[in-house]
Amino acid sequence: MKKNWVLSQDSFDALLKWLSADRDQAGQIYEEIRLRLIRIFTARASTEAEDLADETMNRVASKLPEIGGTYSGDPAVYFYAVANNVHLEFLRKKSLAHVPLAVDETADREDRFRCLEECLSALSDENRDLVIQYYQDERQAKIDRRKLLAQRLGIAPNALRIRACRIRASLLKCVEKCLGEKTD
Amino acid sequence: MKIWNRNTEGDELRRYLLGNLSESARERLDRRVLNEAEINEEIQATEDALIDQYLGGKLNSEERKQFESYFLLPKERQQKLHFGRTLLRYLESLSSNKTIQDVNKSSLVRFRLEPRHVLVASLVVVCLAVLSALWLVNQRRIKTGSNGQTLAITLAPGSSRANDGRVQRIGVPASYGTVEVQLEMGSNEYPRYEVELLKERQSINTYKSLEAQHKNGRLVLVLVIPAQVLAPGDYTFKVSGATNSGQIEYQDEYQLRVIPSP
Repeated sequence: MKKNWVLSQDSFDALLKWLSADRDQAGQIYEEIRLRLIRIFTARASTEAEDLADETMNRVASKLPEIGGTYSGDPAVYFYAVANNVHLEFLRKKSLAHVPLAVDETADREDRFRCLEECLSALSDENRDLVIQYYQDERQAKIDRRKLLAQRLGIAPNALRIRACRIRASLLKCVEKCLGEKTD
Repeated sequence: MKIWNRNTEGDELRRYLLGNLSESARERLDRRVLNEAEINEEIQATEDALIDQYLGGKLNSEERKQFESYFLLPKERQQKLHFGRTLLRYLESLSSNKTIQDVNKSSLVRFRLEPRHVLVASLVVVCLAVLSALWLVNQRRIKTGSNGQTLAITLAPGSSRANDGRVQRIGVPASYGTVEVQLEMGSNEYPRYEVELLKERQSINTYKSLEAQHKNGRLVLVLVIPAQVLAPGDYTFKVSGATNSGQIEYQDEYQLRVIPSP
């Protein structure tokens, strides 16, 4: 990245325009690409996935004056190429070996439990029932229970899996928020 | 749009998340992550599954190593792991509470039946009580286990004192629905007892109003626990005596290590 380069409003506007002529749609594409870059960096076990995604977005914005008029492919492909470079630079700077676990769980175990109870009670009856039933039991009993649950809801097993995963993600978010409020 | 085939590509996604894919395979998946919404949801679901398998001791040694040294590096995955552990504890507590509710329900039924019939027709009441008890036991077996088989185990106080310094270990095969834990008592000094069950020193349930009973010539407290509650890990049974005035007095501890079933 160009040294001391800062993302200005003009650069940001130019980037959005490059993504789509419709500014609202461009904003959505921007967010979507950023989120997916975070996922890619996370899949590479990067400890700074969000920072690397932001760096990638900024670096593409900084290169737009050079490539904006000539590059004709899918912008996502260009972002990916830049993301690879950003990641390589990150690896050169930082060894992946032995990063300690960042969260000491033992200290807030009971708070976590209470927060989970609160968050579960805030779910709709249907979602609470689904998430509890989906993750309960072991081995064959779990498989059987999930089959029955999918049949009862009239959806495919994979759709049930994704639905449970979404509820779980919302619970995780709720628990982290609840824990944050307890420590404030 | 490519349709995600979980059966054929699920394994590749697991290896992607554990950092076990070749450079070219990883790049192919990276590009799909960038272009397809569906695979992003699959990644989330696969991450959750890996975490649950790790917590349940179901990853093989290589996967476990990769999980700890690679997968867990990002902070957000560590948060997910902690959440997964809390969810597991919550679900285990639900299973335990259900057992207690079942036991309490059976006590209530007896209480309602006995006073009404003892004076009128004691023989009929006895027959009814026996039949009810048999029916309830049968019902409980159906509720707590897939096939009603019970694994019985006897623990001595402190466990290590009675076992040459080793904590008693058991594996609970999947075919068992319940585990009957008999806690051996030195003496019977209290009318009732409480037993707190802890996993890795965290309380997961308390069994109240237990009475010591003789089994095979030994004085024991008996707990019937759904097998699914006893996931691999270290457990402590903390026994307290309850006086007639309701005071709770700590008595002793019993240790048990549940290992993955062969």
